[in-house]
This record gives sequence, C-alpha cells and structure tokens, in this order.
Amino acid sequence: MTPMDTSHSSIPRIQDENNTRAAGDEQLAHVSRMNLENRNKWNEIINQLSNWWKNPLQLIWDNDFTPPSRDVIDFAFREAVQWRDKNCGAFDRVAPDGEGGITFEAYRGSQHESLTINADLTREFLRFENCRLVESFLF
Amino acid sequence: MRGELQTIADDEILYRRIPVNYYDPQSVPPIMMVAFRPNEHDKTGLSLDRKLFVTPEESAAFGREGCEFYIAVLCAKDLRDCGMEVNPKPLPGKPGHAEISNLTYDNKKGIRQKEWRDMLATRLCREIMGPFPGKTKATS
Repeated sequence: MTPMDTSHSSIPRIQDENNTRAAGDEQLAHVSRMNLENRNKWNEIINQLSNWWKNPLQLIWDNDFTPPSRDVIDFAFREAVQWRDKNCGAFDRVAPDGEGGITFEAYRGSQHESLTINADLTREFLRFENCRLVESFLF
Repeated sequence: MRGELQTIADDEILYRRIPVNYYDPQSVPPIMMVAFRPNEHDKTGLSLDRKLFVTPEESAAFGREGCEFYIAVLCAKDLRDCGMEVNPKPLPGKPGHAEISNLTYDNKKGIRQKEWRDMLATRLCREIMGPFPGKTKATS
C-alpha cells in the first residue's frame, strides 16, 4: 500500500520515499527498518490516545476548550491501530482540536497533511503543498 | 496614541496564545496548524493580543489557570501580505485584543482560511516565547 492511497478504508499519507525503494538486501533491510520506525511512531500515537481515554479532562488545554469525548478518543484509537496495521505512514503529532475532535498532523518538507476526527466522528483530510491546499475531503 | 488604538500599523507585533502541547521545539515546524483554528468564541475573528498593550507573560495569563502557554510572535504586515485582515477588537479588560477578522469560526472551512492556518503554523511565526502560566479562572 502506498502512503498516498486515498481509499477511505485506509488513510492518505505523505509518501516516504524510503518506503518505496525496492532492490537489494541493503535496501530491503532499510525498508524493514523504516517500517519498524513507522510502527513505533504509530505506537506512540496509540499509547497517547490510550492515555487520553483514561481521563479526557486532561485535554482541557485552555478556557473555551472542549475536550474530545471518550467516544471520539476510542474512534481515533481504533483508526490509528488500523492505519498502523496497514503500515500507512505515521503522523508526526496528534492533539485535541479544542472543539471535541482530535487532529493528526504530518510534515515532510513542503508538504503538510492534517486529518481531523470531528466531535461527530466525521473526518476531514487536508493536504497542503507549500501552504496551498491541494487535496481536501470529508469522509 | 489615539491612532495606535484605532488602527494596527504594518510593523506592529501581535501575540497568539498557544497551548503548550501544540508546540514541540523538536518538530519542524514546531507549532501545529490546529493552534490557529478558530473556535466558537472566534465569531468575529481569530484572537490576537497587541504588543503595544501586553507583555508575552500577560498575553499568556489570559489563558486558563493551571495550563501553560507559548506565545507565537507575529507581525501585522506578514499577515496582511498573505491576505489576512488584522484589526483591533478591544474587549472589556483586554484593550489590546485584536483579531484576524477574515479568519473566523464560521468561515474556517474556506480554502483560503485553511491555507492561512497552514501559513501561520509554518511560515509566519517570527518567534516563540515561553512557556508562561495561564492565570484566568476556569470557565468550564
């Protein structure tokens, strides 16, 4: 699966060129190492979500800040596990959006991707190239 | 001084309060785009504070007590060059309040607005200061 796959059963992701190389043993080992690092990044996110689920009130980061419900955190958790197990490229960071949702963000050079799970469990994906929105959809 | 109150000069410095967890100095960029997402209280524009009126510590102090905040330092001209409208919006007890008046809760789904949020996170912060404590009693 390529990280750029936009099917809604997976997650669109910034492509990591290291994951797309195919050739000799060294490169296969490199790909394997990259996959392990990718999985570890997902596990960090999953552990973060699991920790938040135990006490969503820890996510009140300001006044007028609505933390995600346990349902939203659970949904994000399950999505992240699915993406990890499909070896989708991991996001760099995850945070509550202040409106009851959870946002994932990833940056690779001039590219930036954001996926928000809204409080109503709809999801919005955004992809920017040099701060220009080049892809956007709800699912 | 009267002119300074009513308009924001191009070279004026503005502060945006950032919850501490939206900032990671090890990341590139260090601030998440979500830090510039208007919430339901930003009906007339994304909130900023004017350096003419407050210190970074005072700007952060408007945040929730018990939380910590970084202050993103912005320049009015940088925002205007990207198409953002920066205007004073004094509030009771916050005479130095300002806002990006064409980046609101209601229009945040617009393409330009999304691109501005990305620009704010990736290009337009001149400096990050803090963290500083929030000192405003919790409202929820």
